[in-house]
Amino acid sequence: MHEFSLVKSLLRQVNEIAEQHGATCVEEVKIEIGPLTGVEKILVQEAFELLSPDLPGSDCRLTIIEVPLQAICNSCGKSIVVQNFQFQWTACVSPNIRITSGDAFRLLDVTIDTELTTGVTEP
Amino acid sequence: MTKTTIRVNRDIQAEKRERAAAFREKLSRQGTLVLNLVSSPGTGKTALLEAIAKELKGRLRMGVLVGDLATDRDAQRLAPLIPVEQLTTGGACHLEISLVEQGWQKLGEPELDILFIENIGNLVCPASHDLGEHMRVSLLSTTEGDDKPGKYPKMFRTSDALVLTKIDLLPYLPFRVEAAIEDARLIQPDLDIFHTSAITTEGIPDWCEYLEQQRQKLVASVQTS
Repeated sequence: MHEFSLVKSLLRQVNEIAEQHGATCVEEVKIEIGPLTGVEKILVQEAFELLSPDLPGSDCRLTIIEVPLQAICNSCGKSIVVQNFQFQWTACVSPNIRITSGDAFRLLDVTIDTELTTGVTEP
Repeated sequence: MTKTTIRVNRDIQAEKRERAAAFREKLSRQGTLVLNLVSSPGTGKTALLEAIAKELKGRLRMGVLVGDLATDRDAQRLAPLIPVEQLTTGGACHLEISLVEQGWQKLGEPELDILFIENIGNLVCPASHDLGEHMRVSLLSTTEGDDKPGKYPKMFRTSDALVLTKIDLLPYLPFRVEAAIEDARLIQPDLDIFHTSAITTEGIPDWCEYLEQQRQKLVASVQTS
């Protein structure tokens, strides 16, 4: 349900970047999500298709990179992949782990077109 | 035309998280513990707040920001017991820090020991939004079923405490308390778990004592820092 508001927030940030760099067209937006981001990929895509025509160039591509849920065990320091949301790291007595990726909605990069100005401005 | 790729690599909620952190910091300095209560609709968030307000009356200064899609029914219920401000989202499925900041202003930014934020009844979207709370408290009622934690991992993973509600109904329901707790602990081993009934008040004194301790811990940590 909240994919719409997250994508709105994403596009606001993309727009700011496009403006800062004087983009005439935003070609591609690349994002990262994971199992604990709390969003559905298809709904993110749909929200993007609905909202992205407001971006410069109006034909922007969304690339979604899906990463696994990764964590570090605070006891042994080992990096692990959390499967099926089972957060107990059985190799250590302590079940204390810190999530390192797969729980965020990250804007990775934005590909834009810019018009090189030659010092001559059109009327 | 020049094509350029700009590397950003930032959480899109970073700005909201910073605002939430600033709110948390502000309320920490004045000794106000902020709790974000999350659950399905009908789990008994408002009933729990009524029970807490009665139990801690005269012991702690409390206030509530209560979120709903429509109506001010919860605020009307709570108003005789506790200062309350209704946050009506008009359809949004979760609260965000901006609504909390507005609600806190409308409440008059009083000096409180605990500020409760009663989130929208929803186990999905509220999990992704930091409201500037010190603790996230999930409620799970015996009428919902003991299989819920595993079905909503993000909510339970991001919670600090779990309050089982409506335990007075246990004799009439197939709800297995141990199974629910085991399921929840697989997701978040550090959960502090309480068994309550707002109707019979069973478990309410223990839960309220815990709240007092958490508030004292906050005050102590602010003083040492």
